[in-house]
Amino acid sequence: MLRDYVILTGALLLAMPLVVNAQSISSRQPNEVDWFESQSDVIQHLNKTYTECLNTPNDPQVKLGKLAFNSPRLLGGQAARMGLSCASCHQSGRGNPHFFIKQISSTPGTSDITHSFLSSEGGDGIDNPKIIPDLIAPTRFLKRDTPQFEDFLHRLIEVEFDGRKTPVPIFNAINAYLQNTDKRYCHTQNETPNTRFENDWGNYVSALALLDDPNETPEVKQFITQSARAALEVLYLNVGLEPHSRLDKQLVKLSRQLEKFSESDYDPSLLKRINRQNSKLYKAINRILDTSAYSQKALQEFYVK
Amino acid sequence: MKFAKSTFLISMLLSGALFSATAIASGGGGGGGGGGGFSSPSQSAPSFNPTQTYRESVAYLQNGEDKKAARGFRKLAASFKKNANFHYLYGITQYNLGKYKRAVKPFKNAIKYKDDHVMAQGYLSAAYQQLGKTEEASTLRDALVDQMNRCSGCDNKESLSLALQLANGDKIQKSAFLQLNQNLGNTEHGDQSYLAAVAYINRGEYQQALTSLYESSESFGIHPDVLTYLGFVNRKLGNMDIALEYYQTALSIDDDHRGANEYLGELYVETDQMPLAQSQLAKLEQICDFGCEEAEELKRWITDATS
Repeated sequence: MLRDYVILTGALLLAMPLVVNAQSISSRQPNEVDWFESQSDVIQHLNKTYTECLNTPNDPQVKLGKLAFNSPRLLGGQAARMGLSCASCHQSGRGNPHFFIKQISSTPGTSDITHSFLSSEGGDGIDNPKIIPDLIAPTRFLKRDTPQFEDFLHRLIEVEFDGRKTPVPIFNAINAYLQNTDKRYCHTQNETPNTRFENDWGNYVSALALLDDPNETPEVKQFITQSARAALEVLYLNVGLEPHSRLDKQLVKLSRQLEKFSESDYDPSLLKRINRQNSKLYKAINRILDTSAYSQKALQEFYVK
Repeated sequence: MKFAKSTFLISMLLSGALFSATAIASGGGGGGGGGGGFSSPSQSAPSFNPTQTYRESVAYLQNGEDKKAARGFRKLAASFKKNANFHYLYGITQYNLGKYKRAVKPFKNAIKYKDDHVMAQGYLSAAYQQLGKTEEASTLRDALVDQMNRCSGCDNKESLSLALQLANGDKIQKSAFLQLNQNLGNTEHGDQSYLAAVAYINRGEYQQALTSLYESSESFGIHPDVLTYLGFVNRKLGNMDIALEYYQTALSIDDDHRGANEYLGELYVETDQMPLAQSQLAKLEQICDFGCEEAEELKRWITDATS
């Protein structure tokens, strides 16, 4: 039976009394802006990332899990429509003390994942936001290497967040990523400034690398392709505080090529052509980094002017 | 203070009345989304921004600047002919300006599109009195008295009471009017009602969702998101024609609205109009440069319906 979802697009816009800034009409902002409580939080934290605490970060399955964890295509319903991924609440597999969505948060860093706003089936009718846990901490109520944890994870993705039935390899990869996340593997400070771009770029190129694996099934490749396009959109939104028409077109063109890649039955030569454009793209983004949402100074100017 | 990235501030009064699917733009059905879609710029460029117009007009009305408010409400009423409250608010501006003759038609229209609009009845009765049309005024007043007599714990007792004051020839205080219409531009109230509607929809409680959406509309009014949900809920209630009209109105405001395009496609699937559903999917794929859930979901609907 088909499941129906309700729109999210704009739901948050409705939910948030608007402060119109001096920004130009053509400017864009990252989706994350929608789940910060204040402009000062955006300025302070948007260009930072948390330290990822993985045991074997280069393991292909862990990489696929990380991609899925960062992909809004894993979830469904409202979450997918607003661009939420698991990583929105658990940046780098950690937590997010700044996360705030009016209808499901009581204070920054809390979320009620059993709220009907997010879920067509998992709403419990109780307004009970909880602190978003840092996933490197040991799980008190459920050990991760148990079948019960798998059941919990299925429910989380497919019920609480209205996701579709997760393809088995993708599900196993997320599970592997979570098993791999542990505080024993962290050696640096929690939140590092000026790391967001490399993080987002890493998500994109990692997706392309995974697409190159001839052993992946078409179903998995389709998911990776969608996630790669979503990762490109993240870059597109972040570089858009000021219009950069050439760069914008380049990002859109790459996304459309990825769309064709999927339609052309994953032609490796097309993937090579896409990959060849990446070093130029990387340099092009780096050139305008100081005027993008990846720059704290640019964010400050954007919101305060 | 909470903020959002869009500059598209919602505001408009809806109050349950169905919008006309025609023409906020000169092209009728063109839309003001801009950038993309299938319509040419001359067709899609809106002649005015209804959201902004409403917001400004409400502010003028609340500040007692009826002349300025009248311009906006007249335009809105002309563009959204079936919206009772746009007519009603335009009527109020005319009444406040002492243009009783001009106030009659908008109040009549408000009642035409929302026959239980008691405040419009009260104002219309008062306007007739001012024009010396005592018979018409009495008929309306008697109807209001009758409603009041039957009103035992009814929801609109406060409105009825004010409407009766008007019909009895008493002036109502501006504060009383504002108290009654406190949801105009009240984003906090609108937020709560809208979010409640989303939760109701997700739980499949569509009648409650409709009530919440109407309440939200009293604060925000016309916005493609609200219209799309109204379309969605009506579709779920089996009111396909009404749903279609809501979707089309949403798209006339924002042709690239992902939700409205998706749900319109789903409506076409449900009514077995597959070529139109395919066309909606093609449009969504064009709109979503980086792919989107709305396109993926519609694709699944089409695949499931054709397999």
